[in-house]
Amino acid sequence: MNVSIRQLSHTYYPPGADPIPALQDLNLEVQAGSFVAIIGPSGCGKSTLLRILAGLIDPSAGQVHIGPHAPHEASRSKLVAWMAQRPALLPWYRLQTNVTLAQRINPRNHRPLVGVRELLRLVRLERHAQAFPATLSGGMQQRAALARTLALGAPLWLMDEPFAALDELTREQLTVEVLALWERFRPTTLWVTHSVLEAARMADRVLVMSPPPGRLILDLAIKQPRPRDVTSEPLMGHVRALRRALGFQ
Amino acid sequence: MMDRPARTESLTALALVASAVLTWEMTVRWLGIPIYLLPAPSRVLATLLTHGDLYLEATGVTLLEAMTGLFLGALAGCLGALALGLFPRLERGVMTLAILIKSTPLVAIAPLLTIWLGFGILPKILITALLTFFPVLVNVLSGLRAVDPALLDTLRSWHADRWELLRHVRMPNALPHLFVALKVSAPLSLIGAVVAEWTGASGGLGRTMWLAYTNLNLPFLFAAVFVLGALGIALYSLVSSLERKFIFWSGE
Repeated sequence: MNVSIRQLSHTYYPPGADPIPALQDLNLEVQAGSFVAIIGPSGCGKSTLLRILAGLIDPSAGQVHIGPHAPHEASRSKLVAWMAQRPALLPWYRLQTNVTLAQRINPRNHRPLVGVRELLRLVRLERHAQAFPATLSGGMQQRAALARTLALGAPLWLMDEPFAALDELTREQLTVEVLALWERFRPTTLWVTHSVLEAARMADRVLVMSPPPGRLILDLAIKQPRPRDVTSEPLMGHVRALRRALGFQ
Repeated sequence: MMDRPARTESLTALALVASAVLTWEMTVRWLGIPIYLLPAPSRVLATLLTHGDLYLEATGVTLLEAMTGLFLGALAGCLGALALGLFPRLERGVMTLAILIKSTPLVAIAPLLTIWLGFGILPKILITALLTFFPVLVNVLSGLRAVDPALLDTLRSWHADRWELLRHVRMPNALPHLFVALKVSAPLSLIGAVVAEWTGASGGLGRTMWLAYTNLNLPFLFAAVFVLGALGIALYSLVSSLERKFIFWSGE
């Protein structure tokens, strides 16, 4: 699923405060099946960009197309799987219900990709299908949220810092698992992150955004095959380039 | 089985009540307080036991009034909150009306309703419903509103409509708030029924109290107070145990 963004700008108008420009004149073409990481300082509009693509907010100006569709149509047809920083599981539903909930919402357009057993097995939670979210650790909850994202069978993944709230070890482990799932299903992926290493390790292409209002300041292709060793020389070169663009010396 | 802290807690409560009753008994005996001012708890209990049928019947009437009123009040509160949740534009008008009902003194409307509707249970049910409606409305409405925005966003990203948001997110979120309201409203419902009975009734604990009061029969009056206290505690624990049954996801 190609993503095409032209002249995209967005400004927030909080009541009783000055307007906050979040995105300015963003142009971007993402090829179907590629893994694109987006990195940049806080407030540079990364989350805003994903929320616009997920149809959660309407942009102030510009055009966005997901394949041939506008974001609202794409979300109505369940072409987009959006995942936030926090797991956002419904506390009153068992894991199994949480993971399959998307099938019961707006059900006409649902095309299940794999069964719930398989989904839970993919994120190694098959023994916790009947558990309530509050009884699971943060990492397990985020894996459940990942299974829920997969359950949509969507050709476009929008991941908004999905592992930002997790500890280093859990995050490392999940990175490997997500890459395996991505290789299996090959969705077009936009992955927002604060971590240069995470971006260099996962993505085909890394976009660096400027301090707000966000625009693109670097578009870096990474061609090394996966799994990647971040300590190897070609990858360290990319990491240095990304750090320079972000203003670290 | 109760776990250990819970058992310690109930033992503590029991010990406190027992020592209070004991102090009362001793004070009345040692100071020789006359029975028309303050009867000893043993005397009150004896009255309660010798007139068991009378109190049982009165309790039945009051409970029927209180529970029917509570049910209707809570139902109206829930439906009102749902309506306001779905159509926020109604809020100003409905809340003004609700606050008007809430702030009108109960003792001012109770006699009116008795004059209009007679000495039967209907005016009591109405008073109780009016009294219990407001806490349920306010709490359930805040439960429908105070939803984690991340949950709403997730469902919206699947193109959920507002009925789906209501069913999967807002209503389950409001359930614990409903129980908070019921813990307030259940004891209130007894007060409502009894106060309404004081203004004229053909039965019930409030009527028993009124009769005892006009005859200065204090053991009789206190016996009714004892029954009401026990009912209040029973109702509160009933709501608490229902709460534990229905709010099963909190991870405890």
